[in-house]
Amino acid sequence: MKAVPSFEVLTPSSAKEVVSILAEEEGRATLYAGGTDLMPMMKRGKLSPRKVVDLSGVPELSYVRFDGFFFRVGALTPIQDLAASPLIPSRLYSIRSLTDYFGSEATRHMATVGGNLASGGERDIPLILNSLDGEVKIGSAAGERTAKPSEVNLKGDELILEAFFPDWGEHSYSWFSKFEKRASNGIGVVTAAVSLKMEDNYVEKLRVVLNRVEGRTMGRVVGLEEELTGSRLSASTIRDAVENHVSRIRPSTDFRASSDFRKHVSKVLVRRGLEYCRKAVEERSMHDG
Amino acid sequence: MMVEFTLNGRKVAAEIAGKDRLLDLLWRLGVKSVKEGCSTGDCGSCNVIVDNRLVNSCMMLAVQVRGRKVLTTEGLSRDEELHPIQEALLEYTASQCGYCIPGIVMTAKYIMDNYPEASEETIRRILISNICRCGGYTRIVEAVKSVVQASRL
Repeated sequence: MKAVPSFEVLTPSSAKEVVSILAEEEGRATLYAGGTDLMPMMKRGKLSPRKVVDLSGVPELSYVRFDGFFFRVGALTPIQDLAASPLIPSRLYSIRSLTDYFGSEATRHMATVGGNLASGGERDIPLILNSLDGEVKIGSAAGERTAKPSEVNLKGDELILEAFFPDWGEHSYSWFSKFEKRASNGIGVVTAAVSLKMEDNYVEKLRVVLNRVEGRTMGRVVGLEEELTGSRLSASTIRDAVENHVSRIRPSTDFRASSDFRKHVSKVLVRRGLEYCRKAVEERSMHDG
Repeated sequence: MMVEFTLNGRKVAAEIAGKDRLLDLLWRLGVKSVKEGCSTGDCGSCNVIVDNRLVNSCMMLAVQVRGRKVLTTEGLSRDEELHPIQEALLEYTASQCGYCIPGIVMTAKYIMDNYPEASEETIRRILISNICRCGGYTRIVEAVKSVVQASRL
């Protein structure tokens, strides 16, 4: 571990101020939210910023809201506040389960939704957001843009403002799981998110997202989604469709796991996710009736 | 630059550099219970409570505690009198080399304050914040469980 490199700290107190600092610095300023990613990178000598913008004085970007159609989560919302928010219903189990799958409680108090999205790669928030057809709102001095969670590619003068996703309704369920090499607080080997909406026992909408579909790239298993949409789910249709489509992913090998192992675990998790969602939606529908 | 914050109930002001972590600042102020272990947020030896939330002081910048309340193990015990969490850890012989213990004390304090009805499963789930290289987890969990249960009476 190396010493923390020297840098100047700026302490803005509004999103507007952050954006104008970023414009003035023309990409030379590094944003510091929870620091759970940045500080380890600095300690490992992978990053030596000259100017750091501390975002802890910008509470306006920490919120969870629901307007009846969309859930909106401020970029500086700590993961713990999102996962434990009373506005997040139990059918959004993918989000509620972050208290089990996302680091330790101390990490979840520091790590933020926007920080996880900005880090990109195989992170939990972009994966779950992708499975819910969510998007990311990004601001700069030039204005605002929206991007898909897998295509944030933050530029030097930009600040993530918000993550938002539509409400899939009562007959839906959203699931998430992480296979890691220790009981908790590790880095996932395979992470999977499944979101399912049913109508009269038929699949109306389905999203299946894996952390590695091609190389190290997160993505949807579109073939599987298309095959099962409009069908009735059973244990055997799920098993066959998963075998048929998840077999086609090509995750890359690294020191944590081989490509073959990742593919095997991906199949197991997607099958479990589909079965779990189907059962959960059916049980919810029975209570309605 | 100067930061002002509340440390263990007392208002303090300190001169800091931008790169200072909360951990560095606390050491300079003589708060040496807070231990640096992994420096990357895995081990929890530097755990402190900021505005009632458990955090890793190795990843929080010193500047981020301006105007906030920081609690460390030093803020729990009065003079020679130990806090019930410390008494329980002693009673269960939960400490071996002791390096991880101040962090575990703060995690236990966080559990008592926020999850007074915690089951053993919840206690274990939150204690994943802390790594004990001596491997004394069984006694640590028993000690924390006993003090959380006793605090309900």
